[in-house]
Amino acid sequence: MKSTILLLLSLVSLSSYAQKINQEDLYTSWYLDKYSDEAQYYLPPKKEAEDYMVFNEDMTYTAVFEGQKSNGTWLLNTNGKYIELRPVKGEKEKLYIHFLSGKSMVVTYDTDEYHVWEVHYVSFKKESK
Amino acid sequence: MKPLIVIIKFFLTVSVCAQERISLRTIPFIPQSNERVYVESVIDKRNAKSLGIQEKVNGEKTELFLKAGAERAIVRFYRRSLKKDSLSEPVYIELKALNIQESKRRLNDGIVKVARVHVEMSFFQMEDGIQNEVYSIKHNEDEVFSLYEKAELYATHEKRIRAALEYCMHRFLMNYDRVKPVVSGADFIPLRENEKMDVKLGQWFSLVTVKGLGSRYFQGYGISYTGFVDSKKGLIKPYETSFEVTWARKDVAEENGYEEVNSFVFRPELYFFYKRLFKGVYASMSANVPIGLELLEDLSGANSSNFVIGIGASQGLRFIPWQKKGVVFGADFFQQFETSEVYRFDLGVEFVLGINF
Repeated sequence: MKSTILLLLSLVSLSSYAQKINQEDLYTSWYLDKYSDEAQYYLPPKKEAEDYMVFNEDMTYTAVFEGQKSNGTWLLNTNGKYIELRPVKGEKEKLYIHFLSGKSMVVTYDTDEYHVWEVHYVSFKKESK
Repeated sequence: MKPLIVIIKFFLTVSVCAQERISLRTIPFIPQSNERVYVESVIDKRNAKSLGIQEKVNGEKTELFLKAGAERAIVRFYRRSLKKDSLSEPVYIELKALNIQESKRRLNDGIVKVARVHVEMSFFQMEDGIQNEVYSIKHNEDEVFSLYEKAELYATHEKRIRAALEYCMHRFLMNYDRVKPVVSGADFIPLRENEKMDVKLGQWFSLVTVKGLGSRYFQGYGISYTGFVDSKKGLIKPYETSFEVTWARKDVAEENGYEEVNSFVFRPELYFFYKRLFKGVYASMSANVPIGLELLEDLSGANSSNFVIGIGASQGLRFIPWQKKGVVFGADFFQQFETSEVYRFDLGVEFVLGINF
């Protein structure tokens, strides 16, 4: 009985740890890797092949979306588990984070067009570029 | 007798709407600014202290409140991330609105549920013993769910409250250098963010309607489901699915060498919108692709079929006089090109009658 409780406790703490978002993991360049839905993975279309996002520690970002450059400010909402991008030009965007580690990030864009897609990014640390 | 009536009334009230207290978790966040502030107090200025009435998974209506009251719960939430020490400056918050809402809306080709936490708060700082309002914000924390995620939607109201509170503090701190130096200025106007945002999720109307239609060549009937979110401003984009059964007028069929011409048609829309003219009165306009099957019987009794496809348009009015539940009626003019065996271009009128729920 005691071991079952310990196992449950460790599973609960493990799951809560897994969900924790470490803001420092975001401070890097994120390159668009692939899309996925419930069925399979998809390579990005040609015009998005060079898309990326760079989150800076001063809460500014630079990015290329669908081949178009963008820059502005960003914030991480830890409780909502999302990033808000505020571009200098254009509407703000919300990216729900499903998974984040130092090397990869999976998000969903909170827009009707992209709602069904999980977007996979991979990072290359700034110093290694 | 009188006490009995009071007891019955009490139990009726309880059975109509139970109450539930949401315990706000205190998950810390990283303030995205180097400013050192802490929340000294929160004053709840809301007339009603409830977060709103929501439906649980089992359909039971429940009035939601924050456990320990909004003032204590919010101070405790912020203190976990913004520590009070000798270097930090106090901030005083007035809570103007905090509520939970739920509605539906169209997303791409389907319908989704939308959950919202709406919050409005003002931030004050002390200057010469007087609290000065320096910043105010309105914010909607919205999240979309599929129609089948009722349990997840209900279970995550608390998370959205935390996210909304965190968001307001981030925005205050990100604007802090704009509000801090001018606190003591006599002409200072507090910075206001999202002042004109829509604070209420629009009401979702579900309409089931039947229609009778008549044109130069055809007559028939149809059934439709229409769902849309009401909005005073702009164009409303409804979700609609419909099915029609029509038959050629006797003289038209005979002129074309047929005894009977029946067609069964779906109408996926290319473009479809409502525009609210007055409360309960909507103009409608659509472009659609009629697609289906035409079954033909010629004068000798031989049967054949014809795949029909075309393009159609309609313009009309809908009257929804009772917002919660009631009768819906309206009329449309329509025009269409179709690969029918008996016509290429047709126009007519349809009358619509149904219910909203």
